Amino acid sequence: MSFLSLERVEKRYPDGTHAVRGIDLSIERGEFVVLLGPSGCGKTTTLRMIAGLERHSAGTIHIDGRDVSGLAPSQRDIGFVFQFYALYPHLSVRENVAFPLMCAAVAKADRERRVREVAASVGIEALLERKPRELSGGDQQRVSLARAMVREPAAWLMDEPLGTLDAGQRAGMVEFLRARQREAGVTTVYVTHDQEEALRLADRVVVMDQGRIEQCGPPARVYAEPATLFVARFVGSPGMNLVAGDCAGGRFMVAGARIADDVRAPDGPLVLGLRPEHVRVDPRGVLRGRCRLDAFHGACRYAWVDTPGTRIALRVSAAAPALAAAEVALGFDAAHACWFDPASGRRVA
Amino acid sequence: MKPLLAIRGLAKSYGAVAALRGVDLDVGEREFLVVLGATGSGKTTLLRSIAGLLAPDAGTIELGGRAANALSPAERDIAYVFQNFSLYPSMTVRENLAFPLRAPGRRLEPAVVDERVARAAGLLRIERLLERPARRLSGGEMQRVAIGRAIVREPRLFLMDEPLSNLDAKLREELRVELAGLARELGAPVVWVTHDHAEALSLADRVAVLGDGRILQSGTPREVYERPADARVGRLVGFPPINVLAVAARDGWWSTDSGARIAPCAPDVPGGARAELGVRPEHVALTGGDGGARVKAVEALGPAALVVLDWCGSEVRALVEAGGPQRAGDSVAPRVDAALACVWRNQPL
Repeated sequence: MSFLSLERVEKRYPDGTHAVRGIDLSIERGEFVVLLGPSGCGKTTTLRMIAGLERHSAGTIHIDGRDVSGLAPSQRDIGFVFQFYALYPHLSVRENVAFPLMCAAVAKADRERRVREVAASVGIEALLERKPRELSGGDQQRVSLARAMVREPAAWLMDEPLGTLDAGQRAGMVEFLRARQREAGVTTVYVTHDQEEALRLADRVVVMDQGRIEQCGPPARVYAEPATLFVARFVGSPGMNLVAGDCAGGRFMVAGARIADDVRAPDGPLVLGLRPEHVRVDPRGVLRGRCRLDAFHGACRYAWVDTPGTRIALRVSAAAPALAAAEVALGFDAAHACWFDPASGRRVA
Repeated sequence: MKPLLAIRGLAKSYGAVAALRGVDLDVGEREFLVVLGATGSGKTTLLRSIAGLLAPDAGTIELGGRAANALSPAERDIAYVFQNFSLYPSMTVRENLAFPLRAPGRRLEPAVVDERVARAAGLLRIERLLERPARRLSGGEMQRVAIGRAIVREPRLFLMDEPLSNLDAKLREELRVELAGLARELGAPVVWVTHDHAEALSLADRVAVLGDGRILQSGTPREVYERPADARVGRLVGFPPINVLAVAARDGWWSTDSGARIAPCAPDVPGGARAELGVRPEHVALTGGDGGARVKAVEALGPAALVVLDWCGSEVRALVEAGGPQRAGDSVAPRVDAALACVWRNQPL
């Protein structure tokens, strides 16, 4: 049996808001699961129901084989990290990190060993005797991460813990967090609206929208084979390109032009989904338009081409000739194309 | 040709804390300049000094070849867009757009006001919102209107203080593409500050990297990314972050002290010379077999995967195509493209 399981869990508020509309989710022991979605999708509410900070309106939640519906947060035997709190300025780094262990009355020898271990895992061993004000911003964040993760309860629940950091600090913290979770093997449920963070951290990503789970799977699968139009757009930066057209006898047509053959989808309206790395400049290509922007991105470039009805992003090698302001024809890699039914929003091929 | 904006030796302290310690910066007539810096690096202080909202302690600011230090904000004729969309909530979008043109002293004909409002609304694609009160707009719409309000003024310079940072990721990406295209169409000079290196690389004609209250490096996005002046600039620009390795010249190789041969060194480098080597993750190629490195972790990044290596005790990251064969625990042979590596010599020859 899985460590944490949610069955048909719902949350309705007295004002009628239906924040979570029936969620089924099983999480294995030691797994790192990320709940990903835009604000208002129900991800934080779901986390709070697991923690016991909100009562669910319907369904059941089991933790370690126990129905926790009637249990208070403290009785659920799980720890949570809702944010990385500010450090105590008058305490040294060592004392700051040891603080949660002192509160939990952990014996001195054990406490010192655990502080040493967590300090090594986030790379702050050399800073233990300093005061927070003597540290750079990035180091302070590492210390607060170490403090948050020095205890190893049965589960860590985390709500956008990196939300306040700037881009540079975030990139490094994600690696620390990942390594620490791997090493401790603590089951983790993590909430974020940042798709890149989700892909990097998760064993499994749970994409949510409007109180429902849109897709649940390993990062690579969610990225390559999005189950719905929502996931296709939300995951990836830039998101998946979506080209609306019609399918008739296996031919995909957009505004009278034949875009693809041998499409295995039923006749009728159809949407073609293409990741930017599967679109390329191709003189014989069928998608045509003016390049709106060709932007350097470091390891690669992204160009945006305005084709009739859709702006298409493509990933270009950093060394390729510039496209800006040129009229270009685009081809694509049919093997990687995703096909969606616009009525249901679901992927059909 | 004289630059539109010329800043020399700009310094500003708040009590004992120095925000700017001598900034030199030029902005050309049609240039899109992005100032990139971490939180607290003095970006906002720089913008506020240019706008005339803050008096610097030292240094000169010239606009159009004339000393501007003594000019009031209004006399400088500069538009400033903030990260929080400062609109009048009860006014309609049209009234918000027209507001800066109705200021006493402007005395514009009503027909001119209407024309400018219509043009800005068209450029930003907000025509259909013109009669709506500002409080009923979404975040992205509000920021479009805020930028429209800067455009109608037809200022000599636009200052943008992280204008996209309060928008969610998808909207940020969409508006970034739009504004980059728009700025090029208008040919208007822009100084845009951000901590987001992807924003900086994709928007800028030129990036100025701010750190320690100084401009650490300034150049095209490609120059700053491919040839960072030192490890610090290298780390600020680009994701996944650049690998920085302490090396010494031994037997024709830049090698770490633990014996990893990272890249061949030039023949004129004397044996024993020490340097820092900067290697972008996309310039580390991996082949199978026992090459002295072990895979510690593999992270999904959408189109690519980040492979974290233990290379004779040094942590090195490689960016490879998604779906590669590497798994944690594998032994691999990393190869660094020496022509693309940055060598930062500790001492000159």
